Amino acid sequence: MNAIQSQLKALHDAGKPVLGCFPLYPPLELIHSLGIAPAVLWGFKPYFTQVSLADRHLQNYACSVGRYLVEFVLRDAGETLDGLLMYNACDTLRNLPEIIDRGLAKDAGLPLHTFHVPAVSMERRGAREYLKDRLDGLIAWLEATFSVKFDPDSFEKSVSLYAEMRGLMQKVQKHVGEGKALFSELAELCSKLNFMLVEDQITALQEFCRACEEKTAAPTGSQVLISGILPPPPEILKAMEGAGLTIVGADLANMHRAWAYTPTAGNDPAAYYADFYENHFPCTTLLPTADRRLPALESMLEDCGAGAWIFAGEKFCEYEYFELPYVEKALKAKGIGVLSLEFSLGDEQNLGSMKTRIEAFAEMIEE
Amino acid sequence: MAQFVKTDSGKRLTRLITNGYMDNIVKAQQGAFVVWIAIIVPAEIFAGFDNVLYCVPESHSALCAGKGVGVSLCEKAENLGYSMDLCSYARIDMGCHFNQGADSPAGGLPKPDLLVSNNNNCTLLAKWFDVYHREWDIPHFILDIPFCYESQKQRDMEYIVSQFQDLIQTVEKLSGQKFNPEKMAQAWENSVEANKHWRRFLAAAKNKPSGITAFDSFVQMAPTLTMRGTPELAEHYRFLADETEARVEQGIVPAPNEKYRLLWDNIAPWHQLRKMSSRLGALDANIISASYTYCLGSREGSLDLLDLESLSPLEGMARLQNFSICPHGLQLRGRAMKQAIEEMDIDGVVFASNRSCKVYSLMQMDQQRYVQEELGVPTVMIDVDHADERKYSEETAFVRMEALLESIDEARR
Repeated sequence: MNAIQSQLKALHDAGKPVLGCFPLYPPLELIHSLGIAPAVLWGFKPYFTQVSLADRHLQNYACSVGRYLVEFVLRDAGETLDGLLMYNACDTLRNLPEIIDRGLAKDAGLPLHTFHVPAVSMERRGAREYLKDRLDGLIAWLEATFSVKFDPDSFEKSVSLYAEMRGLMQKVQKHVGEGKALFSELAELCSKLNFMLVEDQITALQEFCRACEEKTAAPTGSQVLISGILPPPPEILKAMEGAGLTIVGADLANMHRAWAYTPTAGNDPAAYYADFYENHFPCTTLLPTADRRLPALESMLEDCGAGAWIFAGEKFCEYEYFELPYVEKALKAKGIGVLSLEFSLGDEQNLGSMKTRIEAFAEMIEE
Repeated sequence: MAQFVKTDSGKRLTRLITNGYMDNIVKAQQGAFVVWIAIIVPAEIFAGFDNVLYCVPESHSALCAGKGVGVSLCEKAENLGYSMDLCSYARIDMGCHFNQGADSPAGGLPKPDLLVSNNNNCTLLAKWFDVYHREWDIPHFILDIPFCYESQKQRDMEYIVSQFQDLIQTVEKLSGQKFNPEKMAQAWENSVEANKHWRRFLAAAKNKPSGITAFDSFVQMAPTLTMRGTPELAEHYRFLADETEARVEQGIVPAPNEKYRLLWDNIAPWHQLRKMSSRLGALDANIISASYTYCLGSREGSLDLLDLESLSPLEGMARLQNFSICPHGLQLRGRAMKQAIEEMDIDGVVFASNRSCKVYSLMQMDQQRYVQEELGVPTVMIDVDHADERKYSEETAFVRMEALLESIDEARR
């Protein structure tokens, strides 16, 4: 049993069914409000050295997020997960539900629900009503699968907890920007938070904040903003910090993009999630946010005081790579130093050359 | 090896496609409102306007690959910073249009006034079109079409129809032209008629030996994408079906010594059509059918034609948003493939694992296992890229395909 499974087992032991949610931005508040523990299925890299089970189902030009997800679910074989939930986050992820179903042994099958989040603005005719229908279907499935009952007051309470968590995340990120903690420490914390209940996330974040507040350090070295789906591996983050780079902002899907926006509180999931997806911090996977992406990045660079940008590319993530040339060009035109790195399975063989590039980049922007 | 001789419908197709591309350039120069669309976008809608024309970048990219300029155009896009891992259709298109139509065998596509993509075939089309939206400051309308793990539901159809209505209003507003629903309805009838003849043409594969190769169907599919809704398309497919049936009756078939009847799963390898067809022919093998073409107009998970009679044109078009294989889940694809294998007496299946098309390829390993283990049909998986020849090795592919033929022989003993 790996560390993630241990965390998820602890949730079981506390009487919570665990719903494995495909990344990137599933409706966590709704799931939590029904007494179910949501676990977003990413961040597995440190725990697997190979993905032999996933390799039986996915070609090697699938992104590592998809391959690790399949590997985890097939290895877990229902030991810690009680169900799976997928929304249409990307072309790779939408292919996976049936693949996973085929991969699990017949006696280890997991209940699985797929639902479609409108990939257009909620102002488009029919989009809100369609989302409401899909959410009603999701609620009905959760109720039937886990013998629970939706309650608007419970939903409102969960919304409030997640709002508190997001507020703490932003505070913690600010502390990192001020040099009171390393980004690598925050990334490590976030990887564990992913498999905790929101109540425990809040406790952990409060502790992190308290530790930061006792420090008075100011950021040293060249300040950079990092973008991507997931943070680079710990060795690379340490190499960046060792080269004198201070990551003061993280436009990462499992970090800032996920917690930057808190919808208006309420007890109606349809209204809440229409707001959530419509006004979400721009992500390459959220099609309606595309036009807001560059302005958001530029604003973030300014707010963090970062003079350089590192793209932590998830290999084979076309969503990120279609936008990269445009963003690179725009940032370079503003005098922002740019470094593009690429990460995938088997990175351990490339770390040496990556570290050299990081050091060269640090020297360049220092000049 | 038999010398390649173009049929009359092949010659007709060349004229239609060439004239189509030239006409678009001329009409655009004369002030037509130009829309670039993804292949599944219902082109019949634009027929409802007097002076709106549509272009299909994916189809143009396939043409470029087929004419041997795919790699050079990909390299142009890569030199602009676009990753080699991106879909080769997109790289070809960007390499061409960011260089003023350079190297296009059709003179390039006229610059668009509106981009319309959809996301059920693949979401990347929306990301690809967003590149132009940003670079050229052109509006981009995305049709949000739910993916199908089961047949399309009524609720999904209603959602899609509401978006078509929005699209019509958008074109009206941007073009200044009034929409005529009767003209669109006529275009829809033309498409339905064209599809009936298309199915007649594909049915020639049931003949033994097959009256067609899948490569014929790949090539002849082009006007469905670029001329949908026109009476010329319906007429061409009627001509194609009639000619094919007549040839079969006369015993004129592409692989007279057909020993192996194969099915191809994935997009066509545009840069290899004639070479692959000839080389397989020399082995008495014929790829007679392809999931890429047999799904056109079919119910999800089947080869049977969708019943569109009771639907309005917009509803019918909404229903046909699933006319490609990529919006279908694994179970649906498996059911359709089983039916194809049975109806066409398929001896073996070639799964072309296509690096540029994850939506088509990522289910293939499980699909291959299903066909091999549950249906008992020999299979092989080869590595291809539909438009980037650098990612294809002919010798490696043929070593595997020859091994498939040996498996078929073994299975027959």
